[in-house]
Amino acid sequence: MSTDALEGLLVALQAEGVQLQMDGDRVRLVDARGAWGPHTLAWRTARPVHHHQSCPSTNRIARELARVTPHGAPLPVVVADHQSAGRGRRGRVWSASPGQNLLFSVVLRPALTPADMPRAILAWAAAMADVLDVSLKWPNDLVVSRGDGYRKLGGILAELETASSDEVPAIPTSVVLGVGINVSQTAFEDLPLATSLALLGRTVIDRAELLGALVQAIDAVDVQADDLLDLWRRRACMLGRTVRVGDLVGVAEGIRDDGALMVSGRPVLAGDVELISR
Amino acid sequence: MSLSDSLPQIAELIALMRENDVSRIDYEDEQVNVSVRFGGEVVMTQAVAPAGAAPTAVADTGGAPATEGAGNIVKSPMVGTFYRSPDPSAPPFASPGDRIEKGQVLCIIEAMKLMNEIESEVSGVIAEVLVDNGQAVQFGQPMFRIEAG
Repeated sequence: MSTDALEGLLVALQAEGVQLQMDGDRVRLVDARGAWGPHTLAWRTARPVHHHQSCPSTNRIARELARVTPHGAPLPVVVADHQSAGRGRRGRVWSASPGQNLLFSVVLRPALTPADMPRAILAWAAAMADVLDVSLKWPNDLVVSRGDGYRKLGGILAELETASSDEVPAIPTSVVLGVGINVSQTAFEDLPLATSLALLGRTVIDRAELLGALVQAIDAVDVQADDLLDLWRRRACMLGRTVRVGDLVGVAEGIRDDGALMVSGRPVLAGDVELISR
Repeated sequence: MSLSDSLPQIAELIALMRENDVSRIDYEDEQVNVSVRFGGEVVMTQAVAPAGAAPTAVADTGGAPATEGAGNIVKSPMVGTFYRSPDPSAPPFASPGDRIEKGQVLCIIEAMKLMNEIESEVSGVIAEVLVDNGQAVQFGQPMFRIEAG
């Protein structure tokens, strides 16, 4: 990095709220709490960051970036302060007040076949649950147990961006992991099961630091590891409880090595899991 | 359908058995109905294709190229749920009679909240949609038949 580029970066970090002390050639970090912006987020996540104050959907932008990011190039993270068309599973709207939550999409390229991708996504969800010290509702909802049920802190919508052989050299297959985590929002209209870190009594002073910890935890997952799903199993809620998935009612016994939820001996690969109160 | 016509399908089923740890397949010739047993625990029945509509070239079993008009079969790359539209209120990606271009999205396969948009590898016309919306699909299961045109 040239001196000019470095100086430009330091000025940009300061503009985003990072307090630095310059002493000749030496730079000392004084305080970065509350700093927020593309340069701060790139530093925290150790990845290229595309930051948007508002965008329709971080997943949509991340998929466009995945489509043109060549093999071997650093993989981007897309972060938005506000999503105007945030999506959940099957078109469900994901609502978030501007600037209060974490909304981001991470581009990942694990060396796995499409059929093996779901278990990697469970492992990435578990890595995030571990950072946040919360539980997992199959397959990858970030939740906390409450009384006889649960409250949802965050969700993940993963999309596969399939390899393009038309480009030379070929662009590999990517997974775009779209994540929404409620941080300081305290009111959720029409969402009785929603919660946030603030409602859980956890004050997050620095959203950028939390984002960095989440992305770095995702990047630290070894998708080839034999014990890939152990952390998921340790963080799971609902196991041993009676659940309903579609027409199937039974006891949630655990997850198979491919990530399928075993309900009274039958593997479940898709669908919403509901707790049945007993 | 004669047995010789079914041979490519049987060859494909054997390949599927190897890939998916399937221990037994019951094949029924008249209706072309197949019962598949996975590791001796889960049984599911799968209608491969309606009689008469089954294309003559199902898979590249002998390396012979599909003949003109026989149609390309789009198969599922993973186990999951088949969706014909991006969300329940949206129109289907592709319906019979639709002209589609190479790279166009045909459907979504969801497995454990991983959404996989399946793109067409060929240009042509949708001849058949072989799976109902919201239905479970197996690895390698035929989903669309696309005719050149």
